[in-house]
Amino acid sequence: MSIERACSDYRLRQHLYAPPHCHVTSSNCTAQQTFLILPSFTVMSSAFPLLRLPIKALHHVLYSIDYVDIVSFSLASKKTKEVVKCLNLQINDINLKIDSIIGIQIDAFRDSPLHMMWYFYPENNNDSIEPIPVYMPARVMGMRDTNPPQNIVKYRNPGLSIREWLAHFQYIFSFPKTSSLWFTREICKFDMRSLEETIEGSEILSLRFYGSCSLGCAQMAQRQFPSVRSLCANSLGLEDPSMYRNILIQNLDMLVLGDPTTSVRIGLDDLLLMNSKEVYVRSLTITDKLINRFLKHWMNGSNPRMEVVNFDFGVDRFLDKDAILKGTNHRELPLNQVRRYNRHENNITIKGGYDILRTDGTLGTVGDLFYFSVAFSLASNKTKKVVKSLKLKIKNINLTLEHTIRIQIDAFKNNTTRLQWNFYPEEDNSTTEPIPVYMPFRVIGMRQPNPVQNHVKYRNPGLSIREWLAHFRYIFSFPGKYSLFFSSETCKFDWSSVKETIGEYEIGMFVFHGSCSLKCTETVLSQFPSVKRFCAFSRRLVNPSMYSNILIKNLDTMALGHRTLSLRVELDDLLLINSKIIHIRSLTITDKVINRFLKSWMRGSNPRMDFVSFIFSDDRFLDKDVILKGTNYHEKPLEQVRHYKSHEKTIVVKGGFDIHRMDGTVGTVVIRQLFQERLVLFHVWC
Amino acid sequence: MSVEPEVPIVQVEEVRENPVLYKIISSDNHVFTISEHAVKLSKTLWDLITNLGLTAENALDNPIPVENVNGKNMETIVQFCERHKYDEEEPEYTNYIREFVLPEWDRQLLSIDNEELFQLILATNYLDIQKLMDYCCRVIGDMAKDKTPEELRIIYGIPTDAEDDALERSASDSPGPSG
Repeated sequence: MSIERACSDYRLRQHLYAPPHCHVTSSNCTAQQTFLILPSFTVMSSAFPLLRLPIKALHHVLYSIDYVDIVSFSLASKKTKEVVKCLNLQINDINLKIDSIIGIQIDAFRDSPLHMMWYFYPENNNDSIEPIPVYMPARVMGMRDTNPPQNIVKYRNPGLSIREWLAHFQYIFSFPKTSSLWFTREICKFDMRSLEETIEGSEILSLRFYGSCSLGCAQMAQRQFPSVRSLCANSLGLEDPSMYRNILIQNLDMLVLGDPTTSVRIGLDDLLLMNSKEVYVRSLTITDKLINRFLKHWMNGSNPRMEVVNFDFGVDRFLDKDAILKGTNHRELPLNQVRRYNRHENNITIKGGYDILRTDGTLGTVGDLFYFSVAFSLASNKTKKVVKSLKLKIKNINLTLEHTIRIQIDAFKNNTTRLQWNFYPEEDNSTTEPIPVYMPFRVIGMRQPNPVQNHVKYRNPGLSIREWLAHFRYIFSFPGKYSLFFSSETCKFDWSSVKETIGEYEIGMFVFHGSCSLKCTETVLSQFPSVKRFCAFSRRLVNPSMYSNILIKNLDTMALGHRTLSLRVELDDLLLINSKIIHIRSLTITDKVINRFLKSWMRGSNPRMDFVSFIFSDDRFLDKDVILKGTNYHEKPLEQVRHYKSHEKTIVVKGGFDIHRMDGTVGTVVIRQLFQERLVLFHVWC
Repeated sequence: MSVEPEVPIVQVEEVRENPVLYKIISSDNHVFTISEHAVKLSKTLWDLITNLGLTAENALDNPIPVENVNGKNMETIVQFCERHKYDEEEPEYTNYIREFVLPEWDRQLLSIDNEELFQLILATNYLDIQKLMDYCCRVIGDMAKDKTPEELRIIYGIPTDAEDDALERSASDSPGPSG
């Protein structure tokens, strides 16, 4: 291609690619020079002239804006509302939550597992006799519904009624005029007619009853909105289905009874009355024998509309396959026999199972036997979504890489329980390390702490470790970062394979424990240099002077020493640490070392440090006078409470001893006893 | 005492094996040398270089003038491209929210006033540099964090509906090209 021809083509491309307001001028094209011409704007104000960006760039910016902020942006003017609509942002559902106040929940905003929540507050608390009409909001609060919530905005309502808000969401997200109604109060505070007017123009597809919603309230709502296609009875007032058989017999698409907060008591008669296509029941009263009788009734022609039924029993349950399938003349299919069928545009995969036949020839398959929610969630895409909808909260997902691979889930259901899943390869790989992260062959799940409970074993249902991690993230709506644990002297897995397993998600913390070597620790840190939290709990890491190169890293958190270790840390090591939060558990730290550490800080050492804790498990007496000697401290009375913000948490500091750094920064020393442990805590006020 | 890392000086010249270098001239006649790996980040420039058949032998003799991108913006672009020339390729944009943290080096590079940022985005959009576009957009998107619609109007200079209507009226009242 000649240079002239290329220039000519290029000018044509300029016309094609240039934004509408871009002037393209002709230029003398020579072999030496080719001109690219860009528009020149004069931007006079200090504002960023967003709407004057070329459309592609404008959309690019808006795709970078967070959940709630994009809604706020759409409210700025009619033009911004249209701009947001043009983005074609996808959502999955719009739910109107009726409590003491009214909220709107947006599900699956841009395919994210997190919800967006908007709450609408009245001007004053309305003390009128209920039911009251739906109010005009005075203030609104939007947030990303995480724990704790993120991206919170609060402002005065820009003049929209709740009906208009609903319409606004439907418009900007091009969502069909449908909505789900959620009731959580014992008696609905709002007049049903007023509620109906609020959602006028929207079709109510689903009614959901949660919290303390009473049977009376549920029945009233059901009468008011008779055309709903699905119903969730998850409130305390709906634990006895025999009280609402008029609802059970409805021809619904989906009926859900019970969630982890309720104890649904259901019998065979109620199960046989259900006439919905999909039935999900969570109840402890369902026995193996009851399932068996239910299956046999189905084989004889009961529940003719039913396409899917799922039973969830909570935890601590052993299911006896033989009792469940007794007398069904079932045919067992091997796990590697995979069948697929389509439901609601989803392709459902069933691996193995037990086929049973109805008298009219219809085939049914009894799927995996579920031991608890995680196992339940693996049964199908639908059960996965059901478990997700339970909103079970977890705190951490830890991936341990040692001889076998483990995934631990901390604070399952908000208690101290830890779920642990061990993944075993088909055979022990004796090849020279490092090896790739293997495809698990068998899986063992259990509940800790000791003694281990709820032990389940089965063949891996075809998921890689990466897919298991993604599964846990999904069903527990876990938005956080993984923690990686290393306990073997060396890591047997190759790093590219580990990185592939982690995928696009971030690692928040490394924990080195057991016999993990310093060499392994250093390799891990070099492979993942962006990780900001480091815990040295390995018996090979008890001498921090051996890894001063790690101490000086600009980390967020550094934790040295564990209750079972004898960490030998010296003042010189402490002064090298450049992390914001430091936790030290070492018996070699004396009151005098702490005193010298504090005085070094006053002179300017450890400038990034926000917080340090010295923890002692022995019964030592902490001598305040030695710790604070020469610091010219000011004692604050215990009743003086100050709040200290650290990593989105607010820590209450009662009393303490204030000391000052040369640059005027104040730090507070707190000396405490917590159960059997003695603590010296030091907060730096920013 | 500052705890933030300094912005490192970017070596414009490629230090690896036998680099191929190209010359770009900004609107105010500043000449920039950019390595082959770096210039590939700009789809527009790389398409042009490919179409023109510029090679290692003639590249430096054929400078590419880019009008209306001044030296300051071009310097930023060249610095950015050199910094990220060996980065792994980013996946194409999807509907998902991309949760990424802007690296500190890039945040400092883009700590410029709104007018400069606006011009830089126009240049980036035109030169089709996906990563720089992502980063600029993140900076602009972050301005919206936790703001009210009123505040967003100020931050982004969004006219109110009344102002938009008035503009529209005055545009329709003004005489057209013929009269």
